[in-house]
Amino acid sequence: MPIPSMITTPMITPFRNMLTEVEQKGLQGPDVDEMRAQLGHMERLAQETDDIGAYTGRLAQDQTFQKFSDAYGRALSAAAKQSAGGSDEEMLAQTLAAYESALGSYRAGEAGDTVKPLIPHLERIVELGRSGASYPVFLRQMEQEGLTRVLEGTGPETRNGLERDLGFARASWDKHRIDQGEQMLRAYDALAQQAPLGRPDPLALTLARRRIEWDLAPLEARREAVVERWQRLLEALVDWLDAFTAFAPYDPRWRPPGSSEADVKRNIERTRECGPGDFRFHEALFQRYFMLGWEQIFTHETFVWEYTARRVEWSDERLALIRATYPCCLPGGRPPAELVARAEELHPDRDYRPDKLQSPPWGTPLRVPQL
Amino acid sequence: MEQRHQEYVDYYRARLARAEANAALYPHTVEAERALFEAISTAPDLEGFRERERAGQLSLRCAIARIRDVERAEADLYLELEETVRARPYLEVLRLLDESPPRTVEDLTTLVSSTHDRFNREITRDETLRDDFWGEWKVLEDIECDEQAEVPERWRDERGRSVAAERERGALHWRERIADVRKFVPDYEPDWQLLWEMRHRRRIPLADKVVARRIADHRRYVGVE
Repeated sequence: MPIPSMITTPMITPFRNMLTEVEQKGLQGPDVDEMRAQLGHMERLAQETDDIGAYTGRLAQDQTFQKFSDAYGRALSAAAKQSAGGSDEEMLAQTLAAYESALGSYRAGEAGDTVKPLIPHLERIVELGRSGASYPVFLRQMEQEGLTRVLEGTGPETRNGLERDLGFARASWDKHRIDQGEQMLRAYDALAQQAPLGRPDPLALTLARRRIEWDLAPLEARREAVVERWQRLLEALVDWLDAFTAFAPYDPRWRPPGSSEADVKRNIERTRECGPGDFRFHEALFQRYFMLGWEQIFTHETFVWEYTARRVEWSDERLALIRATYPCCLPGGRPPAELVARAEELHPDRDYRPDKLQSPPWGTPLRVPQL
Repeated sequence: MEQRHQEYVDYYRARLARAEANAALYPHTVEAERALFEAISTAPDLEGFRERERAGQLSLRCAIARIRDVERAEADLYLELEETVRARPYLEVLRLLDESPPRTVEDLTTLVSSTHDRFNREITRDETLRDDFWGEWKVLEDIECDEQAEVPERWRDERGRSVAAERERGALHWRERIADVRKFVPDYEPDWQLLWEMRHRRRIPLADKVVARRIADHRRYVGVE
C-alpha cells in the first residue's frame, strides 16, 4: 500500500512547483529532463513504498533531492546567462532587479524578521546601482564598502545576531549556550579588529565557531551528566521519605492509574525497602564517576548554577529535609518520625519553590543555598 | 586605456585586495585573483581581456580557488581536532578538484554539494553509535543497580524479572534502531571499538575503565553479546 498522500504531498509539492516554474519559463534541455526524472523517482517511490522512513531513507541514499536541486540551479543559471545578453548595462539592470526584488520581499516581511537588518544595506546597494555609475564601478563600490561581506553574513548584523542569541541564552540561564555565545562574541571582535572595514571573513568566523563548539562539547557532556546524577540522588531521597508519609497511598508515584490497593501497598513497600540500597548504589557511582561526595553536591558549581537558575525545583525547606534524610537512608533503615512529619507538613504546597523554572533576571548573583 | 577598461581594472584590484587581506586563509584565491587582475591590467582593451579570460577560464579558476581554500581550511581544522570523519567530505572535494576539475561554475557547485551530501551518511555511520551509547548509559546504570544494590531478598526475584524485561526491550529497540539507520546507511554496522577514537571518547566524560565496562554492558543490553 502506498504511503498516504497527506504525508508525501507536502514533501513532493515544492519540487512539483519548481518543475512547473521551469516549464512555464519555457526552459528545456538535459537539466530540465533531469528534474523530471528525479521528480518521477520521488512520485514512483511514494507509490511503491509503504513506510515513510524507508521512503525518505531511499531518497537520501539516491541523493534524489540533491540531484533535483542541482539540475534546477543549472537550468535557472543557464537561462539567466542567456537573458543577460552580456552588455554592462544589461548586467547592471539584471543585478539591480534581483536586489530590488529581494529588498521588496524583505520590506514586506516575506523573508522573516532575521533578514530585516539587511534592509539598509540593500537600500545602499540599490542606491549605488541607481546612481548612474557603470557596472564595474557599482561592483567596485560594493567591494570597497564591504557590502558583499554584509550579504555573506559577517556584517554588524551578525554581531547583533550573536548578541541576541547570547541574550536568549542568558535569559534562560543556559550555561552551555552562554559559554558558546560569549566565546563567539570574543572571536567575532578579535577577527573584526584585524579585518578590513571591521567585518570578519565569513570562513574565519565559521572556523572559530566550529572550534568553540568542539572545545565546549566535552565540558557540556560532563556538566549535564553531573546534574542528571545529583538530581536523581535528590529525587531518590524525596521518594524514600515520602513513602513513609500518610499521603503516600494517594500519591501517583505509588498509585499509578489502574492500580489496585494491593499494588499501591506493594509499591510503597518497594520504595521503603529498596530505596536506601538503590540510593547508596547511585551515590557510589556518582562518587566513582566524578569524585564528588554527597556534601560537595550543594556547593558544586553545577548545583549553584542550577539553584540560582531556579531549576532545582525543591523549596529550601525541602532541600534541608533532603539533607536531613541522607544519613538515615541506609539499607534496612527507616526515617525518624520527626522527618516524616516535616515531609507531611511541607507537602504539597511547600515542597517546591514557588518560582520554580522561572529564570531570574540575568546578572542575579550566583547563590549557594543556606540549608 | 579607455575609461570602462580602467573601471574594470579598479574593480578587479578591489577584489584582489579583499583576497589579500586574508591571504593566509585564501592562498589559491589570491593567486587566481591576481591572475585575473594581471590579465585585465595588461590587456590592450576589454575585448582582449575577455579573450584572455575565456581562454584561461580565469573566472572559473577564481571560483575553484575559493572553494579549494574553503575546503582546505575546513579539512585542516577538522584534522587538527582529530575529527577525521568530518574532515572526509572536504578532503574528497579537494581530491575531486584535482582529479577532474569542473568545467563550469554549475559543475563546481554540484560537485561540492553532492559530495557533502554523500558524506553526510558517513558522518551518520560514525556518530550514531556514540549518540545511542551515551543516550542509553543511564539505563545501563539502572540495570546494574537492579542487579547489585543492597535490597531485601524478597525483592530480588522481581528485580531480576525487571532486568530481563528491560534487556528484552533494549534488544527489540536496537533491532528497530539498526533498521532505521540502514534506511539511510544500508550497510551500517555499529562498531563499539570506534568509541575509543578520540573524536568520540572525548565526549564521554568518564574514566576509561568505566567506559570499557559500559561498552560491555551496552553490547549485552542490545543483545549482540
